[in-house]
Amino acid sequence: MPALAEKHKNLVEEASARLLARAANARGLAATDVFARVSATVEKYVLREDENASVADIKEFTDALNADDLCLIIACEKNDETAWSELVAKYDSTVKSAARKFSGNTEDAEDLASSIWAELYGLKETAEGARRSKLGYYSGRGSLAGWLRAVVSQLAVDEFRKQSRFVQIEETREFENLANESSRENSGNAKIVSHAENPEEVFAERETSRDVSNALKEAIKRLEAEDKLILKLYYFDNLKLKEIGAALGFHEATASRKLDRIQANVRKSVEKILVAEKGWQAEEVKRHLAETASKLDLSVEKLFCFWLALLVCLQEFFK
Amino acid sequence: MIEEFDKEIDSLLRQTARSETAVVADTAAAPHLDADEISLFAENALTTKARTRAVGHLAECVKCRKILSNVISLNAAETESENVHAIAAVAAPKIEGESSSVSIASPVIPWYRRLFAFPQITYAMGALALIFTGIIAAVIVTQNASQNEISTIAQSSNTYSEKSRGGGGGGGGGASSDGETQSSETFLSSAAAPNSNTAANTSAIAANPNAAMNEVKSAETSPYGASTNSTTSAGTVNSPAAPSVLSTPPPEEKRKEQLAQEQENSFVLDGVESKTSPSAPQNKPNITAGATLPPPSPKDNSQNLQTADLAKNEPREDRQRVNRDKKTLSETQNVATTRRDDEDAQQQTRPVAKKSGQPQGFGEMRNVRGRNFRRTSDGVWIDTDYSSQPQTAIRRGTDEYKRLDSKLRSITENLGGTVIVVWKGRAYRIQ
Repeated sequence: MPALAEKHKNLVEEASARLLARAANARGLAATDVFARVSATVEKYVLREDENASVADIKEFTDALNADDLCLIIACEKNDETAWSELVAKYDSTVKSAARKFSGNTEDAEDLASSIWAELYGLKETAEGARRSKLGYYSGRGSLAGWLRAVVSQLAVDEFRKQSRFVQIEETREFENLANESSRENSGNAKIVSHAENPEEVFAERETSRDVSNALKEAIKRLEAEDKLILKLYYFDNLKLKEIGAALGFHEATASRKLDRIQANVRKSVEKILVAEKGWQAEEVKRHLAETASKLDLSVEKLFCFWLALLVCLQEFFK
Repeated sequence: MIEEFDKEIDSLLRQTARSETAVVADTAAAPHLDADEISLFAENALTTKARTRAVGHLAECVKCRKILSNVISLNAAETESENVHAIAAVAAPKIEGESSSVSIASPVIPWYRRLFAFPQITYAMGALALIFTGIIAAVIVTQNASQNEISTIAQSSNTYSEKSRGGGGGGGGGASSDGETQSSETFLSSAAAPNSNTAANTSAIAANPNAAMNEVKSAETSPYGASTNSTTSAGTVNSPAAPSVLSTPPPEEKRKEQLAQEQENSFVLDGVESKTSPSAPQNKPNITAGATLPPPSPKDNSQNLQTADLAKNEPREDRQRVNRDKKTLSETQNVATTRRDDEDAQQQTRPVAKKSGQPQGFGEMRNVRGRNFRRTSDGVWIDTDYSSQPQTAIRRGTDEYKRLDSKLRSITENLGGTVIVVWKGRAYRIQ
């Protein structure tokens, strides 16, 4: 967007100069070295969302950039060996600890960390002979350690997806083999015996569970974006409310209240869908939801809570 | 309106989450967020509009959400370790003669963190649960042992009377009498073993046989009033405050009947000494030859009247029966004192303390969900907070009952029968 860049060029140049002045170690960089990075960051996070962003907003945004981290990265991109050494020395532990989370053992973690550093260094070259480094994606807005963790996570998820597709294909083949064997066994004089005591009940229960499952998925779809994200982070990704609150910018207690509200909304939606679209009765809905809640799987946490509650009751008993 | 945690929806959502496929599928059409955007989102460093756009994408895209959740977890772990190191840095002392920088010792992990850093936390929790269960069981058994002393007084009397009639049928007759005694002793010992501590209590009966017999008899006649009667002085006969469940004749009449019976079976011991049981106290008087039998205890009379099956045991030798009667008579000397002491001990350890001013005759007490209930003679559970306010009668199974608070319903279902409970300022009669 050359027009936008021209419009805010002076602002960005001044911001670059202030950034270098703010850095504890400018590493011999000039304002022109930093200008491209700051300009790209402003365009990505400010001007893309609001073309008419005010001068104050842009200034506030650029003054919040991490000067030291950005200077270090830019120096690494310029093949500054000292900067590279410092980068590795300072952040190798961060990369390895992140890699350990996604690896089953230390060796795999080391391999993953090595892959990360290779990606950051850029083993491939462009047509002009410049290295293709992922360091160029760091904007300087957030911390370098956080960005490195995100890079490790991204690489790990990509690897997992590749392996999962491969594993899924294998599992599908195994399933097909099993199905073929089963059909061969059941051919001829083999009889298929039904193990269900009451097929009608089994069918009815299956239909009921499917209706509830579909209604629940539909209810989740109808949630607002932030509510949907909170719900998925809590239930699907098993994050704690404190962590969710920190990421989304509110207190843990606020996250808890939001979750309660989301649950209430989901319940209303599920009941509405089951009654209006599936033809259930209101009493049926409540009864089935209560029955489902009684089929909770026990976990260590629940057992521990149960024993704590038991101790509290006994304390009252012995008073 | 403040919503509460919905357990049912929570369960459904957890089940849905578990059934989510492991493969991270792309569901969002918009371009994915790069590592920089995700890290900024995790650090809450995006601008408002960029953040709104990112939220919209993350809510739909499984891949980006997974990366985000990983980054959030990593950031949290890093923050935690930094806090630990910061604490260690503050706690580490400066080493003299070395550089001015503070030497950082090995991170000092607080004891509560070390506890939860235990990798086998599951087994530790299980072991703790077992230990607590053992402690609880030991305390309950100890309490029951102390409470059983009173309940076994009547049981031992029944045992002796049954044996005197011919022990084979004692089980049948004794069972019913034991059952009656047990029902009367229910509020005294909620978990009283039927035949426990019989031998141990033999010595306790020797103090005051008359009072003991009277108290036991009153316990039989008034299933819910024995505790109050037991507190009276020895030797007195207390008429029960609650209406008698069993129609038994007054003590004097029983004594007369017993005497008449004895006359029918009159015999004189000739040189026969009563043989005391090994556990009986040594100070019991031996029955000498020619001694006139003392009037039998009212307890024995009541047992004779109430249990027709005892007649089957008549073939047993009368001498043994007299010996048993003597023994019972001498051993019940201390019943009143023992029962008084035991009642005092029971009142101290009873889980639900009776309120002052409670009328006599109120029996079994139970505590359900933090609320105390007492059971009347006609089997109605009454909330101790109830004070004759107007009741709202509701029958179980009706729509009105189903509209009640789930906690209230659980209380009534726990107790069973007719329940009068005060809930949020209103008195309900659930039947």
